[in-house]
Amino acid sequence: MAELTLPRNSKITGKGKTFKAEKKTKETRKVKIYRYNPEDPDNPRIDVYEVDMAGVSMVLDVLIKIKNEIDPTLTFRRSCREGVCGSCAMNINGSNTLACTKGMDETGSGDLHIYPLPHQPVVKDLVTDLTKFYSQHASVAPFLQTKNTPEKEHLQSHGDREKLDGLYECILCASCSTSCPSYWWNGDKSGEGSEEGENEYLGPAALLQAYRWLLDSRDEARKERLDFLEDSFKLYRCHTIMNCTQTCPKGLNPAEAIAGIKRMMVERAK
Amino acid sequence: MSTKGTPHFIAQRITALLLIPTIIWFLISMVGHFGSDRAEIYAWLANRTTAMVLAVFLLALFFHMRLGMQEVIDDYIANPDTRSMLSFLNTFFALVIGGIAFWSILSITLTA
Repeated sequence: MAELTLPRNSKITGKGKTFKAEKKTKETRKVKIYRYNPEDPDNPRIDVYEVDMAGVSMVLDVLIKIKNEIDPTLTFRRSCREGVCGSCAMNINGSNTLACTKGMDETGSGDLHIYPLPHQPVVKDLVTDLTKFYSQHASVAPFLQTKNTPEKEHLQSHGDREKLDGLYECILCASCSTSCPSYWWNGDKSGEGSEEGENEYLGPAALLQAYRWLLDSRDEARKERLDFLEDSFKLYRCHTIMNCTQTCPKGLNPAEAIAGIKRMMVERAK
Repeated sequence: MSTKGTPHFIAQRITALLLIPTIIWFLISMVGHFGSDRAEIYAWLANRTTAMVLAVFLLALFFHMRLGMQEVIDDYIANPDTRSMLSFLNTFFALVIGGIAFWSILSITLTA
């Protein structure tokens, strides 16, 4: 069966710590963060931090403030702090998004809940292992494939270039794929009796990129790309749940891209 | 073992489209026969047009059922051997029940 509950050692049963604020103000909010240390024999736990939010604008700022001023052991990825690198993708108040572009004013007034991206192996705290996710992206051959080499560059009309808008902007933060129930059940079958990569759903991020190259007027490997995706698992595990589109922090629409690939498949089957 | 997905995808939509008018027709017919005795229902079934539409309805229904169940099996059964066995049982069940339904319609309409 698909694993519908967490494995025993992943359940949050560890005793969490509470870091109380020295002086509570009107702007003090509780931040509840998932903590897991692989070197610790205990199960994951939730730590509670009381943080003064004065002058804090983004969720990433809260995490940095906690790390700098309260608990230096808190582990998370971050780099560009402007929604370009995709490093700080995590689950904030129940939705996957980028901590750096999620404003505190968008998080309501209650406690702030921060978890790692769902259904991925956790390396430590909010850091997940995305090796599988990246290998799925690589499997769709996300690069230009041509049989002929022009004398200069490969030319493309403005109209054809515009077709790639809404596709090329993906920053591979994995928010969409890890929000997809189909990807949870079928994204990674390692150790479940299938060959590596067999019977696996590629997930919205990889399929969005597959569509980006299928639509590219300069690319000459459309047949091979569609042949690769012609599989009941790689593509057709998408059941248009649309979590991907709802959660994408860049406002992209992977569900529409997947529908586009299915349309290409049907058209070539005619 | 994974299979090609597009024929499945197309078949699922074609059978769904067939089911929309035929299921409405079937429900209206059933309501229309509310209170009818066995002989009246038998006479209705024996009609060639009824038999034809009913056969299309039931074949589309069982085919669609098989396709839908296959999706559920593919989604939730991770072990390849269990999945193959359940897929076989799913197809077998749809074929048997569809075959019985089709044979019943034929025998009524041809012997009437």
